[in-house]
Amino acid sequence: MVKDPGAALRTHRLRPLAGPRPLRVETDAHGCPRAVAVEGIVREVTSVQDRWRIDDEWWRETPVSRMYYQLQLGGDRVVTVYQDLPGGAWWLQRY
Amino acid sequence: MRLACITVPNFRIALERLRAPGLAGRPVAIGEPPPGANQVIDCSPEASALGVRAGMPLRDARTIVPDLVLLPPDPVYYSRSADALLDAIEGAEPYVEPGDPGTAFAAIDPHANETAQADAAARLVRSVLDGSGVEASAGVGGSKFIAWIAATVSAPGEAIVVPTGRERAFVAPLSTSFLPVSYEAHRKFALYSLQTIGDIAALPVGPVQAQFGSEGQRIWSLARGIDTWPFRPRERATQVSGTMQMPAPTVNSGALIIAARQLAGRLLQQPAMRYRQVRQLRLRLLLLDSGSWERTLTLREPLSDEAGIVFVLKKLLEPLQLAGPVEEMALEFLGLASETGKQRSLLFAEQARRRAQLLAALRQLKTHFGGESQVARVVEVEPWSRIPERRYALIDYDL
Repeated sequence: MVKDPGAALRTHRLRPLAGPRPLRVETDAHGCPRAVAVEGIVREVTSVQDRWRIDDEWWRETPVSRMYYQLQLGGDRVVTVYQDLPGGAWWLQRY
Repeated sequence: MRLACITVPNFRIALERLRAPGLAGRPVAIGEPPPGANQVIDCSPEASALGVRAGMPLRDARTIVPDLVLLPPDPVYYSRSADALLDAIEGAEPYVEPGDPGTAFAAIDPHANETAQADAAARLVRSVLDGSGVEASAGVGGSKFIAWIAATVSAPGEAIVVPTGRERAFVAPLSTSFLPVSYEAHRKFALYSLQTIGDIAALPVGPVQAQFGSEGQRIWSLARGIDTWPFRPRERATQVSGTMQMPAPTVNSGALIIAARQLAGRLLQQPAMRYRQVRQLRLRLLLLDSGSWERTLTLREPLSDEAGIVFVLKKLLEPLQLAGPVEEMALEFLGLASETGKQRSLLFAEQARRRAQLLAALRQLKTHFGGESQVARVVEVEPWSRIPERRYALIDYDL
């Protein structure tokens, strides 16, 4: 059970945190990310550390269906990206 | 409604010429020398004709007109004279709205005929001449804009009455430079060869709005002699004021702060300050050799304690660099408000004080940014969600 923060929420003033940002991704023949453009710089993916799929909100008009990848880039940088499966677009997200 | 506008062109120059008649006919400019703004504040028509403009650096003004008479500003003299001008008009007509310094609007009898309106305006011009010694011009119209433009084009000491229904025809032949609109709009008038107000009035409203944006409707309305800006007569506010002669002229900020403390203490003792708080204060310093300095300050929250007021005055006086030693200090409490209680905490006084300071700072930020809160806090929305953007959100830190 989540503790009630005690404050009234006014949903119209809410600004979501950790929102996804659009991302340019090059994929290999299997659809796996090969390189991503982070902050305007294209970086090679050195390894895919993890991948998982989220299917949620199936009851809504636009259900959520995402394939997440945790990628290690050159320079020991780790990012989490996902592909929006219905649309095919790639997004960068703090997970 | 019929309004009269009374205006004194180049008000500050007119005042300087009033106390030094030898300046008449000579190119005169008023400018604040370093460490002030170091630029021209106002200039006489003779100086304007030679190319001097308000906002021009003083050095440039001197280069353009080598025999320019350059005077330091005397804001206290100007402000007192502007008050005297308003009082003089108010002596003749009860409802007066102050405009720019040296300009005021007065409501006159709406049922009077044209001759009686001209007489009323002439009476106001005479009152100004008797009350403040400067010659004004007057205009009468159905709105502030029409009255102002009539006063601006009329000769000193005279009045022009614009009859009801003749507003558009009156403004049509005048230059677009008379329109009180933004610099950008004036630039576009020149770009589109819109030389007279009539040129704009001849256009349909749509294209004017399309070219001038949010200002378009107002420009078009003014060009047709329609002005909807309301007339707001000034309200007589209670003032508490006092002056103090310095024992010897001084530039020492420590001595000035001591004087300000004594003055503030003396004003707070006055019966008019009982159960009252100060919302705004004005400090005036008269300098040796006829210069002066003036600031009006609106306080963050109303104050009624000496320490708080002295703190504000200290902040004002400490960094001050004056053109000369101070001879006299005058302090006025304006915008007096009724005393309001402050709930203080008996326990956790330090935390409560810090929280009150934080809330005051947040409130000030919110007011400064037009009611939009600039500080947010993180709230849990669906922390269990597998979708990251659903878990937490920012919400305005409400007060």
